[in-house]
Amino acid sequence: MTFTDYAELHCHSYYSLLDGASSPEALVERAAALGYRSLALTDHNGLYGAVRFWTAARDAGIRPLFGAEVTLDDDSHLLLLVETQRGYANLCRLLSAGQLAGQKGAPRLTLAALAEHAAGLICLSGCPKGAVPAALQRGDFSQALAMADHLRQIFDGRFWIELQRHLEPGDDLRVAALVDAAHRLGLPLVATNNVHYAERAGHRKHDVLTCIRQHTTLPDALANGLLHANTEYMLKPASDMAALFADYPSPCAMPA
Amino acid sequence: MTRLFLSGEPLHIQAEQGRPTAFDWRGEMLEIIEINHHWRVDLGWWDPNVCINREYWEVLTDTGLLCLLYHDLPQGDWFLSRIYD
Repeated sequence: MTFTDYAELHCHSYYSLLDGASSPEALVERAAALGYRSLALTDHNGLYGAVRFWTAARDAGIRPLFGAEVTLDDDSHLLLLVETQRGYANLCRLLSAGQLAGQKGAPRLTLAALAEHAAGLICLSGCPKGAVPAALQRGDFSQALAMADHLRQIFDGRFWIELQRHLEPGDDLRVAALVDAAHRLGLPLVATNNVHYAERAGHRKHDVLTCIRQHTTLPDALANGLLHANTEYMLKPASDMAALFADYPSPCAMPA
Repeated sequence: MTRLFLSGEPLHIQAEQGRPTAFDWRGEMLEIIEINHHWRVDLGWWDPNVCINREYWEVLTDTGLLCLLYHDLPQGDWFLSRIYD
């Protein structure tokens, strides 16, 4: 993969309520320290942090990319990134549609709405809760291919298979299956780190936020597998990301 | 069959840039020819009794031994956790 201009494209601030642990400013500051030229903000089902993110990025000389991780009506996730002005308008429409169709705190976006407002948006297959990786996790390769093909048609060349490696058990199998699916459909690959805190130390706050969201305690959250298995969900140097994906030297342009 | 070392068997290990390359097992230096899987566990920071911060490495040696090693990151020590016979 090509990581010379790595831009983190999947990044949650604390506007991903009770999930992200860092402010937009802290994320931008860390990205600048790591030498990033671009950074995306992709909070859950909202653009609440967009203005603060844009302001901080402008001051730091970083190109801000806007997006969101949306929740579909089957509870799966998808990552949407704005490519054009029309895409920003469409993302706003989609976020409103999802919020109106669901309940407070539990938006539900349909694929039909997505298809109607896909123009100007780039779609990434998302975290392990994404429909494609989740189907692969269940061992349902044909369902994963069908979903990926459907999203490819909706986004007309702007659908990417997203690879994440957090050094967790199961990463290697999921990534290999995603790469296989991408190759079969001729889809491009993109690596992200699904960032939930600017620096490693933020993982403690993230664990506590998870407990608040799940109405539980830290020991019970640990016992029930609700916490991340480690502390790898931070902004990483480009060299670290390259090392994580060194076994996939396929031609992969990172949209920077 | 799997031999599991619940508390870990201390190992003398050779590593390059954090990756294990060989280890001494009962007086014999075994070279690691393949790393199958590698993962990290960092949990339980709120309680010293449950806190774990380890890197696990599932490796294959030049003698055909498939085993699981872990690196205790705070202490820097290496242990054998499991041998897949």
